[in-house]
Amino acid sequence: MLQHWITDRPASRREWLFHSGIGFGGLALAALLKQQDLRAEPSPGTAARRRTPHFTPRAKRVIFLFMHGGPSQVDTFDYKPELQRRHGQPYTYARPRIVSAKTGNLMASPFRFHRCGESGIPVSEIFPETGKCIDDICLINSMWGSNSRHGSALLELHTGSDTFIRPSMGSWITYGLGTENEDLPGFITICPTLGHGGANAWSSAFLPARYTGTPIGYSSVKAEEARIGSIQPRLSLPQQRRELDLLREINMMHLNQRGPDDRLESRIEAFELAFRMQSIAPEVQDYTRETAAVHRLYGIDQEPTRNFGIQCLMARRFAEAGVRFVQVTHSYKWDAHGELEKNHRQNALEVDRPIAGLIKDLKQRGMLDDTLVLWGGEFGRTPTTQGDDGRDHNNVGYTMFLAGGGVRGGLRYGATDEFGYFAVEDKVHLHDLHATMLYLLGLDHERLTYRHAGRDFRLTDVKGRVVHGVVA
Amino acid sequence: MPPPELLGSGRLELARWITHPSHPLTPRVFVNRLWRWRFGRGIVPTTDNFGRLGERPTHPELLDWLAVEFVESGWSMKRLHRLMLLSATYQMSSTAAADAAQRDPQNELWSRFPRRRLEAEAIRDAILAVSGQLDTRFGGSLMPLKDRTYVTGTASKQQQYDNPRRSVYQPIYRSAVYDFLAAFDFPDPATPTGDRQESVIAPQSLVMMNSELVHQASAKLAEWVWSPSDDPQTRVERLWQRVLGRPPHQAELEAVLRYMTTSAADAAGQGEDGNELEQWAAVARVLLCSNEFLYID
Repeated sequence: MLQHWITDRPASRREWLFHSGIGFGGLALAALLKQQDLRAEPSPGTAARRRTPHFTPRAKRVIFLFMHGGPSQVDTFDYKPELQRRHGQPYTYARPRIVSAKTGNLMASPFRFHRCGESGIPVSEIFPETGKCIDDICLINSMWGSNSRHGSALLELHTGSDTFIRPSMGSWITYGLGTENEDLPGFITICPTLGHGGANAWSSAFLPARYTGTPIGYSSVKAEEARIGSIQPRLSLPQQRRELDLLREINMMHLNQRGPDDRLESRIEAFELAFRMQSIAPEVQDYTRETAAVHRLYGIDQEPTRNFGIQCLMARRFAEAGVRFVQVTHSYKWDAHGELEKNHRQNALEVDRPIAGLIKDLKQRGMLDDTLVLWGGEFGRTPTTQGDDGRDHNNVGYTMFLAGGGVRGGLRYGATDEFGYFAVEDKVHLHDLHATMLYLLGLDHERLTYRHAGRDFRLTDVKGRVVHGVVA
Repeated sequence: MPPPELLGSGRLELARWITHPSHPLTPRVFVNRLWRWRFGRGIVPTTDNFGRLGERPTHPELLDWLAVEFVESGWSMKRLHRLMLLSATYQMSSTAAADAAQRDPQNELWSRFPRRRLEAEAIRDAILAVSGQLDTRFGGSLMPLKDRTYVTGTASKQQQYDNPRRSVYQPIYRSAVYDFLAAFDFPDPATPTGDRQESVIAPQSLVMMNSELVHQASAKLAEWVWSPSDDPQTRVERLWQRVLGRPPHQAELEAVLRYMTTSAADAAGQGEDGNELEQWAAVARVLLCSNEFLYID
């Protein structure tokens, strides 16, 4: 099994030299080698098709709702009665060694919390709709990461490394499991941010380019106007078809003269795949094909939920069509260094109904069982005040949540201290989150490796442990 | 080599130690990288790893010889390039002789030149060059931003790449790599890459089919081929010569002429405007998209 992961790497140069030199006999031999798993990167026609996981998966795909900027845990999903009681009092314990600003006294959450669902987990009043789904949600209240800067924390969340450029988790997952729809990219990121590392968050780094995330628009583009780059034909489809037919004819003459060559053949096929993708991807993306009821469910029928609602509905449509990893970014708005109440009230208003809509929709379609939803930002915020009414970054204790995909709903896993500052109980590092996500997808994080620059790399580096406590 | 004795901060000693003529790694690693750029595969295939973690050289004597030549010529890259380019090996055809294919299927002995795809920068430059747009001026910077400002707020930087200067002069925004180059395996600018990938993926085809760059170039080519002659055959010949550097084969010529007839008829049948200039732009685009344009034999 180990062999499988290590050998799927771009030894392809040797492979293609081999192919180009030896002809069809070589191709036949390549087929034999493929059976032994000693294969090169698959050609696009046979693309990164579905692969066998290490063990029985609970989830088949991931939808990641990224709250860029860092939502505050103590104002959303980590209710801290002691913090409420001690509002305005000095925080007398040790603070993190590295802080970006001097924060002051304890600041109670300006929001009320209500017990929700059968599990009775307290949820902030700014997430009323998500609160109704709490029995399907597994809160991880004890998240922590290594870095409190946006750029580094964002990279660590996405790639497992806050320092070096590494493949994104979406790339690792598509590399590990392949795709279920060869006419679509396996990893899509809807309206991603270009700041704080930008493309590095969806880059495949040293993994083959096919595992790079495909962005649809950017954070500054309205969701309804977001498109995959170069996906829009400048010609009518019949016109383009005729042109591609001529291209194929010219390329076939060239191939007959120079071939056989795997790359030349692959490239001929790649144009056909691109032509299909060009009509299929926009169709899948087209949320207007859904009923008015579905639009209401996601809050698309009204402001201010419309934009994020469209993003979430697109995510469901892509997930349904077989895309392995879909990320939805709520752009850089949560960084409430000041006016936290106003900031979080508005942001939560924009995302609450769409998040709940997505969870309910997945559930009613029977997709929640094998779709893992991840929610969260690159870090949380301090329970102490910054300025008059803000909170600073906090990477030592914050909340993310999982839903569906084989996790236990209605659970608060782990805990921060009495003020919600440091994760103290059942701490979950980002490496552990990644290990757990891979586990739920049927992948062993220690065996999902890729040989690069002389050693085997992993999403979890040399760390990470599966958090079995969140698994149903 | 033993590490040097430290006098100051150590930087000077480190530099001297790295570039000492008897340092076993520096010149070997360097000439190997250059060989990789020229031939598509290093003498040591793992360009970024020499020694126990890497693969063994296919031609250890050649590697040593090149390394020594390099040092003795005063570390002259120009001389090293010239050495490689003038070699018989570099000038081999990429067609394999029958027995070579048998005896050296992976071409480890360099009995033929490996067919290579142009690198991302060369693809862009070639498209601009054949369409008469490439600005070949020397030097200067296209970075419009001051120090530090390019680190943040790079959201709209794609438009900064919209100029006809050679790719080597394009600025590199790590968070917003030029999407055309990125599609063709331009490596992550924050990761050292001695051995670029050469992928074949559908998004590359989308870029060739639908990007502004390719459509603009094909329109320019159509205009260029339009005026001097109204004879279709002459136009095909001129296009082939310009884009592929050779006259068309008879079968290619016939395919294009057939396309001109049927596409005009189809367009008319579908009530489209069968603009002839656009048809020639389509033919030009086919050539820019062709395997022969991207792959060097």
